[in-house]
Amino acid sequence: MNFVYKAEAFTQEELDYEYKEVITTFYKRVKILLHYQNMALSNPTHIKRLLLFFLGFMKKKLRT
Amino acid sequence: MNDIIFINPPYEQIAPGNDHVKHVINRSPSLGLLLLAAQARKDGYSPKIIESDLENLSPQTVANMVLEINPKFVGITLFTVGVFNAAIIAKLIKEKNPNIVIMVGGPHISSMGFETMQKFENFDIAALYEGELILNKLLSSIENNDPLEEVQGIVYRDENNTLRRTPPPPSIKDLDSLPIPAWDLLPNFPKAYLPAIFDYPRAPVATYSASRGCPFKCEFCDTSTFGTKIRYNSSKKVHEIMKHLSLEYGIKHLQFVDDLFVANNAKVLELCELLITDKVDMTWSCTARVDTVKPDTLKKMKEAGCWEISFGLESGSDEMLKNMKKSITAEVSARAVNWTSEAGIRVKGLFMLGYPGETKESVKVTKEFIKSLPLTTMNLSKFTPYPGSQFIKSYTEHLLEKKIGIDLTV
Repeated sequence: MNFVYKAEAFTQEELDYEYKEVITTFYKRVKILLHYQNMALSNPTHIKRLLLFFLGFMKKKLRT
Repeated sequence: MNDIIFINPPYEQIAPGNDHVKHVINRSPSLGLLLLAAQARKDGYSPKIIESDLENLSPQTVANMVLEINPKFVGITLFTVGVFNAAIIAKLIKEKNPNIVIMVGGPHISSMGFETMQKFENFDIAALYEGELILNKLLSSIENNDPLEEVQGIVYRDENNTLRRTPPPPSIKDLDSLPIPAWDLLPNFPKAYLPAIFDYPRAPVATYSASRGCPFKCEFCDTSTFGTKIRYNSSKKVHEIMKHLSLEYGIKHLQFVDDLFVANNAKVLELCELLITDKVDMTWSCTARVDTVKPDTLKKMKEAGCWEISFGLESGSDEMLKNMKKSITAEVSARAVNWTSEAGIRVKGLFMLGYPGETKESVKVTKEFIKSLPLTTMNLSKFTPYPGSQFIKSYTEHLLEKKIGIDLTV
């Protein structure tokens, strides 16, 4: 099993927070979202995989 | 009947309750096993490949499949995340049939073969480094009852059950001498094997490595398996493989999974010329360092079908890059990303968070850096110390000095 190193300047929670922040800073931009939307629409395997993912995600949400 | 079964064990990569993630993550087969199976077949054996995760198989099911086939040999490839499940498979097999020889190899074994063998007694032999050359000699030695000490690059148990390590083998100099990976042995290939979602423009997709080794000394990286000297397939061979994949399996996109595809611009240009003059209906993606790409090469790569380049940018902070011994600066990274984007190739930036020395300020710098670049996509990982990396070697020594033990076998 791999383990994650925790840099001294962060608590585990702070590191998790920064991780999410960096990801959302990039992916929540309109330019990037449009790009992914176009990619999804141009390739049927992406659409199928996205649908299966969201279906599974919704099932999980309903269970919890 | 199969006399050797190669197994990619189930990995602990999805947190419990999050099974839906499997629909979007990478589902590519192990290229290492495909090459080993091809080599075994070339040497007269009848191999089978089990891709546990991709076939949704538990360790118990994998062990049952092996016991039913009853091969002479089992070869398990090991990344660190697969060690526990591999040990369970080995235990279940050995409980019912102790005569099956269980061999382990792969990146985790190349860096921690001895320690892993110490910890898991059901593994009979560990093959370190590049397995293709070791395999032939190892299998024939076992079958002929020849002494294993003559097989280079292994860890084995002698008659007293003491672990022995043999000297490393020479690296494979001529990669063209390796057989074509045994894609034909994969059930439902290529349909059932896709990379992570959005990592390909069209399907079906395959992976291939056109070189081995990396001379750079990034402190977080483990180069135990392929070493620091780069060896290449000839451009002709790569072109032949691409044609084979296109004609035999209808592959439309190829992912080059080399440590460093663009290491030698002349080699890349040669391949591009071949792909332009003798066209294959295939796009491709690859990896590069920001200090090895040149604008002219990038333009030619685009012309030859290159769709995306992944750069290990790691951080926007020069201080962090220095800590990692990455031998680049943020300025050089930005220049390469801009050149690639201008050439019309998608850019994937690979970043790392939480490396020793990381501060809130350096994270802020990285965030701004990411926003300033024309990246198409990015991956972010939290720093995970790999067994075999220079970081872990230094860190373990540091802990030992403080008399703190650390178990890296798992």
